Amino acid sequence: MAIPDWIWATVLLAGVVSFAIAVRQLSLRARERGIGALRSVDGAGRTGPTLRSERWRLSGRPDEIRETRDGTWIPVEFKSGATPPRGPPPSHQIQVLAYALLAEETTGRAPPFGLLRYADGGEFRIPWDAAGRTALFSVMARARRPYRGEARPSRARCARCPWRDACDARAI
Amino acid sequence: MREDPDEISDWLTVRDVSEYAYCPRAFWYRRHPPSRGPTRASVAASAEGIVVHERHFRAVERRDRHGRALWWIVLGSAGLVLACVAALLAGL
Repeated sequence: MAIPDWIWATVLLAGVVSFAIAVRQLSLRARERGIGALRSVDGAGRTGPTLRSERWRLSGRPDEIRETRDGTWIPVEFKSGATPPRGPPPSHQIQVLAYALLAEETTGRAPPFGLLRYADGGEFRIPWDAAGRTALFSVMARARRPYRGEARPSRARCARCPWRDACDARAI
Repeated sequence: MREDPDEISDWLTVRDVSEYAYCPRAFWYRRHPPSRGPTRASVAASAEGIVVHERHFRAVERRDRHGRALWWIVLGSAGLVLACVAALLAGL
């Protein structure tokens, strides 16, 4: 009895799909392992550690922490949106830098970078260097000052802002 | 819009710092929410973001749990063999 073509087609498709899934998973796994072993993840029913720095009066819980062989923690921040066409905005970069500071304060080892990962696979290494430290400390210092009505209105930012309806400085 | 310096907590969270970099006014509104509250769209986007985050974290954990590459190599090889056999027998 001849086997109908649709059965062969189904088997062929199943084989190709299995192969594609395996290749993708191996590639993602290699990419993640290349950064470090998974130390903690803040989600999927688990709570990651809250990192605190008494020195900088800063606390936060990274989405993911990866640990290199020498014990350095690499913070990973996951963004549920698509990769911004012009690269990560300053607020995303500052967030990762703040986690890098907390990782350094916790372990005594400065991570070379923090990782920003977007839902569509875009990935950026944000260097934790002198320029990064300066940028972060500048924002932290300004955030601690009394508020005097500063705003950064722009069409793109205001469109995504949760407080747009009430804001008198909005651009749209 | 001024803030009493005494009201400012010396401690900051990473979220605070990120939000301030986004827009100081947004940072201030979160600490002093207006009566209208956040936009409906942002509440919906936030809920959707949580779902996407959870899905991502589960995938990260799954990849980490199946730590051995062997599992994926076996699956990929089996798939490839299956596809080749099906193609040959179908006369492709």
